[in-house]
Amino acid sequence: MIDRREFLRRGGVSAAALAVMSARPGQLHAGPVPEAASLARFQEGASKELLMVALDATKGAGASYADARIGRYRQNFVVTREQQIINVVDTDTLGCGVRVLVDGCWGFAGTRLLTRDAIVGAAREATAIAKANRIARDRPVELAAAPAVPNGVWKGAFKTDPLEVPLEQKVDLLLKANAEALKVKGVRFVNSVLFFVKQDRLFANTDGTLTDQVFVRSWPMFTATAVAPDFSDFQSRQGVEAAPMGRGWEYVLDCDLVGNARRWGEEAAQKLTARPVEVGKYDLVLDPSNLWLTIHESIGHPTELDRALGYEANYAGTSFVAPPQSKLGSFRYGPEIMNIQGDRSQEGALSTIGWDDDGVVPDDFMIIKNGVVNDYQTTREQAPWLKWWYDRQGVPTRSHGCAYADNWGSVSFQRMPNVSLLPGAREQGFDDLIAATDRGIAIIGDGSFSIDQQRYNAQFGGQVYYEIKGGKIAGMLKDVAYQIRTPDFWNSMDMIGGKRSYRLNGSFFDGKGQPGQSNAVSHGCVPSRFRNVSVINTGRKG
Amino acid sequence: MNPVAVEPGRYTVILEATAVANLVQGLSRAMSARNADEGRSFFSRQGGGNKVGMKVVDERVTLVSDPFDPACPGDAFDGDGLPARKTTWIENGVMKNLAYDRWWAQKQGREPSSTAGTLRMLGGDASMDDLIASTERGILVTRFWYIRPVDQRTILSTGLTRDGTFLIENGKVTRPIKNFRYNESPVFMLNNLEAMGRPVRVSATESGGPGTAIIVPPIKVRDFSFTSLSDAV
Repeated sequence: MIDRREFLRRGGVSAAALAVMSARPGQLHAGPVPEAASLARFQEGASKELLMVALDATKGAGASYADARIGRYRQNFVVTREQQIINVVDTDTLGCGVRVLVDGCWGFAGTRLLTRDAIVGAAREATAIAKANRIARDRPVELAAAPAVPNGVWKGAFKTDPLEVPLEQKVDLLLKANAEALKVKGVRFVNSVLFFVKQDRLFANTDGTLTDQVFVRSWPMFTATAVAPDFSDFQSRQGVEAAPMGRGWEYVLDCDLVGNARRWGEEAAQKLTARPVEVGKYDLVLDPSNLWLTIHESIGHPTELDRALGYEANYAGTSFVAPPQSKLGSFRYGPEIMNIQGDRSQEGALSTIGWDDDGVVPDDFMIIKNGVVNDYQTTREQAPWLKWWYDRQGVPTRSHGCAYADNWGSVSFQRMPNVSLLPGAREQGFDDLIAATDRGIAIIGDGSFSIDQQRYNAQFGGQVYYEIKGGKIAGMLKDVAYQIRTPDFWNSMDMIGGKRSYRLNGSFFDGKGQPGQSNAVSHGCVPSRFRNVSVINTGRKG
Repeated sequence: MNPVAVEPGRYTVILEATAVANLVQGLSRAMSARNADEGRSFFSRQGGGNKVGMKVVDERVTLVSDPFDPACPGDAFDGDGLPARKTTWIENGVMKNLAYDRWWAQKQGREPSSTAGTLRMLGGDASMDDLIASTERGILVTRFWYIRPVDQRTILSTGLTRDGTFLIENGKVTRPIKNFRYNESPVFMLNNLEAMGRPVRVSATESGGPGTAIIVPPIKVRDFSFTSLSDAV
């Protein structure tokens, strides 16, 4: 669930960037800037000792479990249009959060001061909050067992830290790409942005786990807009194939914005003369650059266990994949060829991490197996709720490692791992699916998106649309959006690509919870075909 | 409650004030003068320029931002650092002003305009009961949710009804119905205006936060476009 105005306000990103962000999720929680002495202590490596101070302070206060996180969370955004820099945003925040369990109730408190006194104070406050929370206890929290990781060190799949790259290089790249698109006849405007996030996170808990992790996310964003000379129409093309990744500056260079900008510009201009789609039912061939968002909304969110149990009802909503007792092992989400994996292990993916914010090593697990619901996304607190199912399957009750807090001062809760459609056995790709289709529409790129609070009814747009006739592309279409009822849509999937066609895409800002928190998550998938899907024409005149 | 399924299509709707605010906010967000002058907005005028001075919606519609309105006070200063002041966007259906930031205003020889984070739409005298009683067949909508822009050329957005959608028959609310997905534009909606109720202040965010201070009337509108049904409750 995503609030882009909130994102703009909190992120300090100028309104001029709004156009390029219009199809994106976003809440951005930048905390206070680091306090100077705390930053010095953090950089001198005092964090591990301070984590132990936090845990020690919770002992003797009745805590059955405690964990503490010290993290530095940084962001750097560079926003341009045409040949101007619109905005440069840097955020930096550092602090410690302490979470405790007392009599089966959580308490949490944080501090931006990395001193013994401040951290002891936060630990005591967390304990007092946990005790106060007992009055509202429904059932005591029990944590699934997780093996201790005494000295875990993990680094994300980045080579060059984007925060170390000079601003001039970032601006130069964007303005060169902008200039390439502006060479195309009809392209009048270009907006481009580089988003970078870096998180240095240390974690310790009373089970004996101590981890130290650093990860980086990068997202180049590009939009070319063509305007008809008489102002009768305008069309945009976002370069969504340059997906956000858990990689560094080297990935941004690999995206070849300058090389792709002209094509994106040409497609924006081409959309001005594309044929409006006729309303009806079509077979859809969806490129991974489009399908990832459909997976995110219609599979990723409804298989979050907290939502399935009603926890997010007030905001982003619950789930139609509920209750778990009536769905696990029996609900047919899609065809036999549909296998959906949850993981935090794919190299370079946004949700990939060594240990989650419960201190758990995430595992790879099948959310949907041969088309049938097989599991949910879980944390240590949630896994025991499905013990009956895991017992029946003969597998241990363990968390899938989906705990995440978006800041040192946020409480961790269940957030999405990478949720991906696995490739089919047959080696085939986007072009093969088109060749096998008599009458349909091929869609590249994600566009507008909206889904109801139980994840049944959704509508998705795209970036470019091609009519398919007799197995061939028969020209470009515009004003296309498809509407789905989730289980009907997935059950209509009859062809999927093979390994070589597997691509990662993802969401840089995915919101959940009240107060809202932001997560980043990748979705891998293969091009896939869906039969007889309802398509509307969005280009209404009145 | 057993909500019944009603066939999607164009309906006369009565939108509670929150639902009106959900869509009218989209209109106010699309008012960038620069985008209009650049040809990439609903407010671009065919042939060049923008729609200031043109009638864009029903003549009963007036939309203002007034930071001094005690019922929805705004910020003292706007995002450009200028003192907040009253701006009339639409008066009697005619576009009076677009959102000029200081730079674009100077370039175009205009005064900068200010939203000050508030919005007020003038209304009528009808009560909700009056609006319902005057409707032979229609849909009553509490609010919309997961609203996302679809087509900037018409400010068309999509989203779903949530928290109570009802059928009106012969001037009475007769039964709860399943949620609808809509695809609609506030511009079309305010051109298809039938009647307006008394304005009320609402919170029209999706996150549950207070959001923009906004006062709008409930309205009755014809030909509102629902494009599919949702099973969500």
